[in-house]
Amino acid sequence: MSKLHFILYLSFGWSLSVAAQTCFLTLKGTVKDAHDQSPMEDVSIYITELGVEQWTDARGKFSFGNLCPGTYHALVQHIGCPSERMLIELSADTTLSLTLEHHENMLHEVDVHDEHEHAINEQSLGILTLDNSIAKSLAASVSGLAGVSMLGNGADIGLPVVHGLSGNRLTLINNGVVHTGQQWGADHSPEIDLNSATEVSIVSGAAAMRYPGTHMGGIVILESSPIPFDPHIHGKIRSTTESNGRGGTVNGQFYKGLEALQWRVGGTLKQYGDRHAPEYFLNNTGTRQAHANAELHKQWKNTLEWEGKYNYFSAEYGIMRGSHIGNLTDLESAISRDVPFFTDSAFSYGIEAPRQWVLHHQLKSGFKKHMEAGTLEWHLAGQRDQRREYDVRRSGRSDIPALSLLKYSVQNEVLWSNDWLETGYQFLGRNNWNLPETGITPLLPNYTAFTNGGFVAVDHSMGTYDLEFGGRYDYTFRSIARWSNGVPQVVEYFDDNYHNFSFLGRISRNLGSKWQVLAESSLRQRPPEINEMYSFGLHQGVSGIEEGNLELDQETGLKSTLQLRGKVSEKLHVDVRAYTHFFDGYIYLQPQQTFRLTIRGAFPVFTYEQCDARLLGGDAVIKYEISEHLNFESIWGYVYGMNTSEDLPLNFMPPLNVQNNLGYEVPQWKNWRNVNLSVMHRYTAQQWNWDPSLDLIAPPQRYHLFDLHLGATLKGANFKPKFRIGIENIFNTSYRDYLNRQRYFADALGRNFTLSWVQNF
Amino acid sequence: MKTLKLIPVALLAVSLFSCEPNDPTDSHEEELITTLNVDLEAGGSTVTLNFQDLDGDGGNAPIITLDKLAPNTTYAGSITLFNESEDPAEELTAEIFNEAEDHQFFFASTGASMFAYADQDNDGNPVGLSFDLTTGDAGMESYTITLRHEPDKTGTGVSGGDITNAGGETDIEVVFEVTVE
Repeated sequence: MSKLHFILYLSFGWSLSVAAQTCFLTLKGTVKDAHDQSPMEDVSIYITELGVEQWTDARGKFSFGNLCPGTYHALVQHIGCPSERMLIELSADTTLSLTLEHHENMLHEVDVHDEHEHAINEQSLGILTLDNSIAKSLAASVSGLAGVSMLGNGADIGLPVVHGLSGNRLTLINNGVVHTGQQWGADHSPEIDLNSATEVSIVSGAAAMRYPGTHMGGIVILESSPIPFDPHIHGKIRSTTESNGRGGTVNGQFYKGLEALQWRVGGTLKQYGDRHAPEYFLNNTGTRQAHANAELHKQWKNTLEWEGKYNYFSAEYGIMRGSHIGNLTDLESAISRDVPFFTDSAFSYGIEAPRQWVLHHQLKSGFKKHMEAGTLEWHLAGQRDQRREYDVRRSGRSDIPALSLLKYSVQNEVLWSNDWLETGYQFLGRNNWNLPETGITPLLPNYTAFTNGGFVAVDHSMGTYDLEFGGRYDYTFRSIARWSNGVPQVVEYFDDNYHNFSFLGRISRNLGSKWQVLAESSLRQRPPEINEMYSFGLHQGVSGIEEGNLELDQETGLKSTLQLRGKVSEKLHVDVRAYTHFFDGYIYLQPQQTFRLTIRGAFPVFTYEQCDARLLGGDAVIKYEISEHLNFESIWGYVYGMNTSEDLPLNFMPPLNVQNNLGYEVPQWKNWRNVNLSVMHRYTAQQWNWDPSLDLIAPPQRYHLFDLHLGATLKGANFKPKFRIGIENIFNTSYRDYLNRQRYFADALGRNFTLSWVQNF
Repeated sequence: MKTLKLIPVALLAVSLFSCEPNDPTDSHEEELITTLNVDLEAGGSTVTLNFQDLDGDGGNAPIITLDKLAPNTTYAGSITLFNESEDPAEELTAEIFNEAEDHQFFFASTGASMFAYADQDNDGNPVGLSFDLTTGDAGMESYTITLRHEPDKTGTGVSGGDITNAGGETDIEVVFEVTVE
């Protein structure tokens, strides 16, 4: 059994004391905080089969008497902790010793090094936060973390930005697989359903070395927790209904953990109509989505395990009608409007052109062999990504996609790890194809790309020091086929290849039991992406002609981070980080002095160019427990980007942003349990560091938003549903966000009432 | 060591992948308007203003051919549109005419020339495929001819030829530097 611990809840352990009786058995135990082993009071232990409940006392103890032998499910709940279920085979008096991961939102204590602890330079969203954000996109959810923002178009389309890096410079890892979609566009939302994951983490530094892909140190990882061992079907149903957009999201997850085989299946449905800015409807901003996930896990002789995972993602996004433009004159006249063109006072669920349609499949198989010397893993995954984008076109062509891309990718990796070493070989293959149905010369060429890579990372602890070193090498080979410009058009072929090297060094040290300090440096290289080298066409965002640049070379980045984390006192926790990121050959879109005359007027020409660049940034998390029931959290993030070759600002960097949250929690109030009330204040400053030659209008004004949420679990009923009501943007503030393309045309969303329900069973 | 035996199988899976990209298709820009031709007829003789960009956005620069206009003359104007990247060239005027409710031309001059609509869609709003142009005294002028797709024809001033409140997308925006003499 002990070797199989990976399928059990690690946080539970039990010991049996034998004293056989019939219906006179007792079940007692203590509950302790996983971090400091202090007893936890007011933890509810609920035996589902009997409908009886006990609360732990000040010493963390609970006790049930007069139980018959049998199988019971006990539900352990505490405010601020994800609720845990365990299966108990009761045949004798039993004493349980439970530890709970208390306050997943509090900083992890520095003196604990268990498998649940996160690396210091990692931040994550746990299941409690994810339960509250099932209706949000991946990018919107992670933008609540320090140093993370969202680059988007409208309410549903968004890419995460980690420390100023997004798109080609950021890699998403879903089920351990590099997500391959069409990340090159700022309006291409990742094709991932957040609700299939139980944890989302952001890795922003040297730890990202292990992952292939084109990232420059920013990684978003989605994981699902191991399926708990329990021979009954369990799971959860979650739903959120929202007033703005008059829609909602419903998600169900079901699992069963038999000794021989564990499985989990789930699905999400989402539908919204037109969203509403404070003063008008944002017409054609609805979305329809359906997602599914399935997972199988099996193990043999405690040493070999296999998992198979499948993810299905389908979505249709409406793009605000008033944001569709034909040329620079249209963009200028749209910008000068108070109310966007095509604003209609009637609400609609309809999604017309301009719109996007995406369909993504991911299938993965993974073996793990546990040996004395270490663990050998082999993972094989395939993805199919299809994207169609529809524009407003003449003569009924609005139903014919203006962009239609199909991408196949495979990932194959063999990994070896033990206590101090992690190494592996990784292969990535991609085939991107423009489907012949658009009647438009494609912006992006057809291509195949193959990357072979290997990495080594060594971890070594010396007293209070922890050292990590690593290196990685990737060889990328690509073949490209595209139409030439000019008359007559002919097919042009290109081949290119790149050797990319990455290195990391990291040292962290515990300063007593209260503080931990980390210093790290990592060097990373990426090849210029296909769109940066070979694209040709109209770029809607800047209303210019975008040209790839065949002369581009690799981009190299050196990132150094200094981080300090710890406790000023038992009640005040801080986590502060500062970083510098120097780039050699930073690839960016530069407007040229020339205009290109077309039948739609003169368009500015933008070409990808390279410069030396510097990102300086910092973020901070401050948590203060004002009293037993009242706590305060403040998250700060800022990054300053400069093109140092020309001494100009880098555009589209997140401005200073702050999130303050004041939370009030009580274990019990009348018929309700774990009652929590929170007031959230979000502040985004105006971006003052920007280059006017790269943008048509100044960044929008700073804004303050306030949200209010009240959540509680209904007591008594066998099912114990959890409810949460909220108001977002309470004061219906009109604002525009610098990183959202819709800011050129319309205000962001107005007030929104939400109602959420979570049912664990 | 079942796992190790499977590794070659995994490497083989790679060969399922073709090594060369598919050849691109869709070189025909179905919707492309390469050519705007304005015929201006007065007193039995016709002058033309022509804009031709065979390779569409980018690539080679467009060719603009202009005849001279007579001062203080009223011309009956008509617009024809072509996609000359197709062989044979495709006339697109009917495509606009058939969707007249969703299209409108707008005319502007930096000089004394005046434009007036001479046609209507089924709702009684102007289209601009036919129009009247009255020139003023001799001189140099810029004419801007704009075609909007899905404009708000009921917007203030739009049916009178004012583009300010029209909205929609610009399909054509051509500037002719004409000589009136």
